Amino acid sequence: MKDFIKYTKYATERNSFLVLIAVTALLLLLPHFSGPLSSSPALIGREPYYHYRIAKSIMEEGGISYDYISYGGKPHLFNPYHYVLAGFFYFFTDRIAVWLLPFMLGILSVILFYKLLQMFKLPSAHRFFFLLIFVASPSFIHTFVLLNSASVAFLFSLLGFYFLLGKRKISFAASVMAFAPIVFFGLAYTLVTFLFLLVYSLIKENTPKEFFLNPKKKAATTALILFLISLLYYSPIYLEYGFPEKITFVEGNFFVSLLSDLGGNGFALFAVLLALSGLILTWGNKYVFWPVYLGALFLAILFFYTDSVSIYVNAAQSFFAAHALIILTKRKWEIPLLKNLTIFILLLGLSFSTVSYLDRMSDMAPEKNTAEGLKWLGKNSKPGIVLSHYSRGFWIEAMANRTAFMDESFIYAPDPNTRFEDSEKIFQGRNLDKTKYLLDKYSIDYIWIDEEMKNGLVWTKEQQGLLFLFRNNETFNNIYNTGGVEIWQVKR
Amino acid sequence: MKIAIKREYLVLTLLFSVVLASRLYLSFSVPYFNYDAYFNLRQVEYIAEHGKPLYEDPLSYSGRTLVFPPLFHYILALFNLFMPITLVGRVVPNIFASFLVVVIYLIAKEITKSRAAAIFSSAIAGFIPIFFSKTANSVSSSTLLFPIIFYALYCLLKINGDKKYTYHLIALTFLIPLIEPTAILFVLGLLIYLILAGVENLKQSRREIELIFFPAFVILWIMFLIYKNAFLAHGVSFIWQNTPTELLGSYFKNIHILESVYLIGSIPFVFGIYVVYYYIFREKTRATYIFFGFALATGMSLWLRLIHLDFGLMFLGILLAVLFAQFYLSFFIYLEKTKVSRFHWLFLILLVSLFIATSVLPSFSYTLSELKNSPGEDEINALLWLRDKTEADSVILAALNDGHLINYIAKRKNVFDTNFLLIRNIDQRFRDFNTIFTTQYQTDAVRLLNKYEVSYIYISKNARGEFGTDDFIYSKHGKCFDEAYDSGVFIYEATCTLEEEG
Repeated sequence: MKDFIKYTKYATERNSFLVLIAVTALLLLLPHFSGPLSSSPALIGREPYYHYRIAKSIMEEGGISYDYISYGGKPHLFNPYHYVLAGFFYFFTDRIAVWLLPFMLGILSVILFYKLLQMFKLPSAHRFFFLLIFVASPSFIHTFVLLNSASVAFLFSLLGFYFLLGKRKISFAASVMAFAPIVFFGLAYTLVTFLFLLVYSLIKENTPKEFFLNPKKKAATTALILFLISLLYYSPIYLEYGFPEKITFVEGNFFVSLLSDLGGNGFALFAVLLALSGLILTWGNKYVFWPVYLGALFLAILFFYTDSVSIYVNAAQSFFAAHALIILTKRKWEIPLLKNLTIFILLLGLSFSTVSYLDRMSDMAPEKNTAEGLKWLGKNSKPGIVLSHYSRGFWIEAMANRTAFMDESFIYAPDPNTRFEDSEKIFQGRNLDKTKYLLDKYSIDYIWIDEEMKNGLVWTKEQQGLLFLFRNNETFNNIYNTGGVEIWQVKR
Repeated sequence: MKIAIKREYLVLTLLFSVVLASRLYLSFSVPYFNYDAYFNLRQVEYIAEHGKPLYEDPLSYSGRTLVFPPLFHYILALFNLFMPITLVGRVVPNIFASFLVVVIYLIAKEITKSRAAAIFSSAIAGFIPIFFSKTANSVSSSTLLFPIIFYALYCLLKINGDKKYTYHLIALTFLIPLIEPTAILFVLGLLIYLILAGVENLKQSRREIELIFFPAFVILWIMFLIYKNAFLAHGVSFIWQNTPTELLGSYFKNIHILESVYLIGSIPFVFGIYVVYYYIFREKTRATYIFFGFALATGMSLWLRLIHLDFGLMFLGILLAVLFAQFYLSFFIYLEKTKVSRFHWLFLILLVSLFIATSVLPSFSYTLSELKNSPGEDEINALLWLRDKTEADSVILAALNDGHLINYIAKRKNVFDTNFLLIRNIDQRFRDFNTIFTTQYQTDAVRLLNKYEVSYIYISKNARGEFGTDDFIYSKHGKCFDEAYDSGVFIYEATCTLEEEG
């Protein structure tokens, strides 16, 4: 390993750290300050608009327990992320706050992760490649470029482990204090942290001392405390509202979520291949690595159900990918040319996915015509319910300040599956009476349509379903039609 | 010794010439190429003229983006600079395909060290019915892919000897993904071999492992570069090339064993499989494991319907032809130890007769029936009429298999052809396409023809075959369809526009 770290005389510990920070800063700032996004007035993605709206509400009202805009009203679960964001909005302008918060969280996470890996005595080369693969992954960029509550949850997890490994007595208390807020970010993050703590506490005595410094008892205690806090927090919620309804209409594809190259926000194909190779290569030391395998297995199972934990999976896959990369580099190759070519291709493959994802991020922002249409709706319509595809819900709520018939915040939404079925009946039906009945049932005042909806997201044909019924000017009035965006008013 | 080498080369040259002559004879026996060929021909001509492939195609699907690896087209375009395209399309791919005989000879000789076994094996590879028939007149990139893949495998066999094979393999690694997307099978085959070798504790040199990992990463990376947009657009369905769901069944068919035996040839099939059984379970040799790894990769891909049946059977056929060499050697060594050894010539005659009956003759008969799958004079005249008598931006509706002909010969826009990648809403388009041909309602037909801005409907034997009817609404001379051409092939002009009341 020393040979490798001395690859050049500049590859010192300090320089490696600085390079990592510089790469992280570059990757996190690039989407905001280059390409189409630099000139776009909008946030990137859809979920950030939800966080933006809630944080703004908190600023104005001081707190929020019931969301009157989403679905026309539903319970709002406390999320500390919104308060952190509201704090940033208080001190900075909106435009600065929306990139500064994720940026700072990203940089802090990398610094903390670096320190944590140092405490685990991970060799410096492994640490460097681990974090390089970690920050260059689409999952990291997705978490720390957009407004995403996973960014704070992940930082708290790192902070918790950092304190857990500390030797002072106060550090245990600090560790509990850091782990505790994770409960409020959602059950998936709580489960990941709980399982990590449990796995850590189960490590046997005969494992290398330097790898697992000590406090398994502390970890077990923390896991127990975390469990109790979860019980105290979630029990009243479940008792009052019951379990959230299972969403049947959002079809996730595991492979698309996993590989960013297939259109998701997950990981680079080459990183996944390297991670698999790393996993196989560590099998010789399976008795040392078994806790890592167990943690990775838990994560893989959880990731299958929800991609919100992708940043944690990213950490696991980066560990194995870095391991494979280091073995490939350290290994004495019979054909040196092939060694250089293979590593070159691997690095190209890894960076290809990163560049491709950065390029794709500009498509995640709402188009200019969409943003203008929503602003127009906000200014020129009376408060009322707006029907659109559920993926447009957060935009309608944040940019037009109107109630969306549906959005992607499905937890404790009123009958989301029935609503979706009814929205499909409205979109696809050609019977005016039935459509009018459903529009009246939900008191829908406006219908908002964009190009993507007309090109496959909702309709595939011209004059299909509702598009055909719009000709009935006794029921519908076209109040906006610019750049592919149409807004129809429902007459009553 | 000198005489022996010369005789060996003489026989091989003779075999190569026989295979090439047979292919060329059959290819030149029809005036036009198979329907599949016209996409490649158009790309070759475009490259020869402009120096780059036509990736933004204004005619296919009335304008679309294409993604494909261009090496095969570039090589043909190079020949097109000094040869007419009809000659390039017939001669060059058949030369490539015939080189398979030489490559398989080299591999078989390397495995068995027997000239006779190698010659017999290469003869079988030259006359694999499905490979012979599907590539003789279709300007198929598989004619280049297979010799290159098998030469790469030959290099893999030889890497522990001469260093030049290592460099050949490195160079080929960059070429393979530039020929066909199915080159991914090469990666899969290598990885399965690696796993098999690991499981069986087969001794593997460091060089070999390096030369397996390197191609795997390079090929994946190049394919990602080429197909980046297709991956993003189609996600996992990219594997099936965005083929319309209704067509998937016929494109990625199930395997019928008896039909497969006939298409591959019964000698390589039966004896190749015997060799797999014998060498995998009894004698563990590296070479057999390499080819078994590839056979397993092909079989799995066919089973999971990841590759077209035709392509999979071609690959299997060639692999089994290689493995047959091992059987040939073992069989005649065994025969030498028996009392009937003096009659070994009788067994040789029996094998040759079997080879002619089950490989050569089916190759010819399959090719002859495959040659019928090319346009006739009447179709070409109709297409030339479209080229000369219709406006340059006219959209022509034609059967799926006529799509490339509309672009290449008539030089007009089509609505549908067999390149589905990057086409949005392909299932809806395919449903519309079927409705246009099969509907008995004029309003439905006019509405959809308007939707795709169709000016002419081209009805050839393909349309009649694909839809199994002659009874198209257009032939009923409704007021919306004027018969513009009638000479074996029918062309109708769409004259109506459907206006819906507001």
